[in-house]
Amino acid sequence: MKALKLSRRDLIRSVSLTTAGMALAACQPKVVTEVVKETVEIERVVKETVVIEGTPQVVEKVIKEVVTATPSIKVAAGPVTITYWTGWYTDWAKAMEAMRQTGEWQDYFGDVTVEDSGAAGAKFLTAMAGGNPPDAMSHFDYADYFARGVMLPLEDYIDASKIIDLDDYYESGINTGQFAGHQYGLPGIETFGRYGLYMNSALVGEAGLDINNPPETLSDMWEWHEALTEFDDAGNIKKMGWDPCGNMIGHLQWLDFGAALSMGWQSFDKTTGTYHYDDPRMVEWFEMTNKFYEHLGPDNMTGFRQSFGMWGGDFEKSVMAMKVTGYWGAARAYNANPEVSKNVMVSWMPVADDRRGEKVYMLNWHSVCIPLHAKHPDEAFRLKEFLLHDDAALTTIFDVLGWVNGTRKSTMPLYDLGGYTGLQWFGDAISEATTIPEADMNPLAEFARTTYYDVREQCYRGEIGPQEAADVLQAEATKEYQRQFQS
Amino acid sequence: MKEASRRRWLSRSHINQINGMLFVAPWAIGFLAFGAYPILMSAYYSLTYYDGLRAPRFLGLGNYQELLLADRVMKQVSANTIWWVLLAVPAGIVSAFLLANLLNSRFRGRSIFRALFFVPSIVPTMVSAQIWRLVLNTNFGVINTTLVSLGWRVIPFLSKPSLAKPTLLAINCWAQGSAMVIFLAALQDVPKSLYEAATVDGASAWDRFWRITVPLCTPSAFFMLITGMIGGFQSFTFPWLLTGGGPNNATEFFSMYLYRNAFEYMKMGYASALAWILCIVVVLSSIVMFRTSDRWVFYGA
Amino acid sequence: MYGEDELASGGGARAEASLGLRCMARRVVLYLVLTLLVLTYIVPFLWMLSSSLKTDPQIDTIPPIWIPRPMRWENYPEALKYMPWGTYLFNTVVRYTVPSVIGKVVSAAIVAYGFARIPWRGRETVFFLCIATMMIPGAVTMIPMFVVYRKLGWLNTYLPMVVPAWFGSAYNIFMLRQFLRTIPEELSDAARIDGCSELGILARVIGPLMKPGLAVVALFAFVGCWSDYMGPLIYINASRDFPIALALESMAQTLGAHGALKNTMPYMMAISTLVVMPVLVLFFLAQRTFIEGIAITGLKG
Repeated sequence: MKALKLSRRDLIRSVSLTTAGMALAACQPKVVTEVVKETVEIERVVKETVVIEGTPQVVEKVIKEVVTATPSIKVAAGPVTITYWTGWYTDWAKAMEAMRQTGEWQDYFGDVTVEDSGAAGAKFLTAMAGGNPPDAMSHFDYADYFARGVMLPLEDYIDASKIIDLDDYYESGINTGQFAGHQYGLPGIETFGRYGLYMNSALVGEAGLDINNPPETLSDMWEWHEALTEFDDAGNIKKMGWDPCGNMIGHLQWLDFGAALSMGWQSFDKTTGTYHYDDPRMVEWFEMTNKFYEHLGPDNMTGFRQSFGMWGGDFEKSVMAMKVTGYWGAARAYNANPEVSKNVMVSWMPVADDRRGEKVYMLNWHSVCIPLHAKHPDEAFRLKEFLLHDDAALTTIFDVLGWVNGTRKSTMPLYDLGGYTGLQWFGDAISEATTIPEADMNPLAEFARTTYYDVREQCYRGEIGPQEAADVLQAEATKEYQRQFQS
Repeated sequence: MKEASRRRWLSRSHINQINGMLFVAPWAIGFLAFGAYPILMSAYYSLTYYDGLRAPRFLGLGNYQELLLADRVMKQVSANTIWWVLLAVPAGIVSAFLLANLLNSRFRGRSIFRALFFVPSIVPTMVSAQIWRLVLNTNFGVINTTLVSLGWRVIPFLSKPSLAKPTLLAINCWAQGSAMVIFLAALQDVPKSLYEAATVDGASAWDRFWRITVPLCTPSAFFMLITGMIGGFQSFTFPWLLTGGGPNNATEFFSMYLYRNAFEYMKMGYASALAWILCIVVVLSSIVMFRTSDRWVFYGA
Repeated sequence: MYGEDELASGGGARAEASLGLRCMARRVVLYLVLTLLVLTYIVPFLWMLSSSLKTDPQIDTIPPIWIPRPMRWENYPEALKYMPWGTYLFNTVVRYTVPSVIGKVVSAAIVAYGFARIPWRGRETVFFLCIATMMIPGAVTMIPMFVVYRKLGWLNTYLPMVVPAWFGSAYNIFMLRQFLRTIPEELSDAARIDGCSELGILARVIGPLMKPGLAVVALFAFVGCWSDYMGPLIYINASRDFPIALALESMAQTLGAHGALKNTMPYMMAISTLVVMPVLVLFFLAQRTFIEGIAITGLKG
């Protein structure tokens, strides 16, 4: 091993080169993407090594910078770790990882570490009840928590934010995040069209139907369904047209109720806290479901729901020709079965017979919200700003998961909707919609949903009649609401 | 005199008393530290409306009233749970016992067979549920896809209300590996000399089974019955993952309904009331079983 | 089944010959029955193994594919890369299972001894109370327990699951007590007369006889920890601290989710296969300990 001989000259040369390099690097202005309209001049203290009288010394220097993407909320000095829990985890974790690699992440967070994790309903509840809430949460039952007053109102943060521009938002999105006069969240992350009629053009063509004349009403759906459904000799379902209990239209959530949107009535009035599940149109909906299920066979259908849950796996296997679901169906179909994906065509969700021509476009709603007793609300709000507004975040999420933030008029140019067949429709359709419904904000969504599924099943299995089903649903929901919110 | 009183103080029964309590102390301490407070709190919650997020609101016996008189699904839930405890639990124990007997005699490959029969009970419940879903699903499970390709009708194992519980019962018997192991250990404890003596006396295999094997396994059977009953009343994770309570509430068991109320409906108070009703039922059943146990459980050789 | 014992205890040569034939016939029937049973028992696992080598579309075809061509062995390394399973394994084994199992075995042995081998006043009542704690469904004690552990500062660790294990779990106590009661009192009495302390009796006299029971407790405790996801779900926050069961559960959640990535089901089946292996091997190796057990010399004759 040759001994490395360093002469003094060598040493000085190498040190000054290094120092010069460091000084140069320290003087570079921070490269930051243009995101906000406002710029801010800040002072930063940097440590520099300068050679003074032959010896390198570390010196502190104050430099003034003009920064164009500064989150406007003051943050605690020093490293902070915040916890962020989300209801859908494994896939979202991949998007989070990808976002951490972007330069913008550093700009927003610097010293702040975001610890993301997954949580189910039980975990959220236990943690909040036990006094250990996360700092930020997303993808949970928003209305339940808003209505019980355990989330932090964010009006002050939103007003002070230099990134958020409320004019850019669709109004319905802002309203959905409000409860009893407070703004608990603004929409983003995964928020786009929620109801579209997906059709498999190959199957439709085989049945002799005209794909360019898609069904508009529930009676149209029945006609198509009959033509598209095939049984084999043993009575098993080979192909079916449409399952009215599946996907979004069969769902009841805090945000909306598929049946109500289709039939055109308001199932829950959030200002008075009253339910209207005994509306005659609910009865008609049950009758319609019965018709389809008597045709298909209840035991058969429960099997489909058990194997594929609510989210269209049967469509992706070319077993079901039509489904009514949101924009994410396009990316799902593409990932699951490109053969089916290339045959996807989307149209408006089917409506009640007397509403032919109504074009209903409902926006999804997800947000990053902050619990009332979160330990680091400032940093959590910064996370919210990032996930909902930063272009790099939005495009990363779309690239990894196919989720769109369609809540603001300015975000649409970010997305290439042509990548997944069917997705473009959701982008074009919003301007043609005749109805963009407001959210229900039903704080008893889980209870109402389970009761709805129960009576609906009893109904299509012939145990109770449609009117009774509607009445039971109404009575149970009303009683429960009184118990939980009005006593 | 002093000698006598000292002897009394240190009498066997006193020593036993102290020793007994000392040995049991770890459990007692653990219970007081980790168990007592939550149990008392749950009793308190059962008298309130409590959603976990807002302060509990006192309701007196309101929850109990509603549970017993006005709950829409309570009848179905109770029927399901009683069905399970009366049918599935004994079925599981009996099948485990028979299997253990089959695997107790010496033959080649015995250990492999034992391991294979034991595997089902060691699989995490979640994995088990996924596997069974892949096997039994009405439209895409392997059994039914085989049937369809043969031109037959599918069997809606988990989607026909009348088939759902029997299917779960069968799966439960499949997963009794732990019971089988306990019985195997118990069978091992049966002294060979008893069998030899009985054979010399001219007893048949059938006799030997019923007069020696079964009675000597009753302590283990008793244990399985009690824990099986307790577990049966609380049976939750597996049906939750497999059927979610359906179809048509055919597999909505008590513990599932309780969990739903606690964490989905935001009715922790009501769920606590359900828990205490369940507890009372189980305690009463256990007392009955303990009292009657002397008649059929045979301890010691 | 019992034929071999008949042979052992005598009979003439002709009797032996006819017994020999009967014996063979019984053997054949036994093997047949067992093989059929075993097949039904392990078909779900064969399907799991088969599914782990497929791609998503092949999972539920009509007719079903038992042997996918090509067999996608890459699923295994890909599934392992999908999430940090090595970390999860470490969490499961080192932080949770090992300390919990040791704790359960030691504490159950001590407490069950106190309930079974020492007569003392109030023993049966306390024992019943112990069992009664099993009768409260976990869901309703979850929130108060969470508060207790939060006050202790044990959140985000495995302490809430490991520490209570060292204070005796009712299930294991019950099981060991049943075993212990089958050992005759005379053994303990003799040792006491010899001047042995209770602890000494436990260590030297009863302890060795308890080995099968302890092995069973250890095995069940191991399996319980391996599959537990409810406790970790509530107490473990950071995903890098997840145990395997919880990671699998979160993987399963994505199966129905909005952005499901490719091949999730086969990956899950691959991980599930890997998860089942260690416990299977453990059982295979350990079964000698408790089934083919120690000669219970004290009980012969």
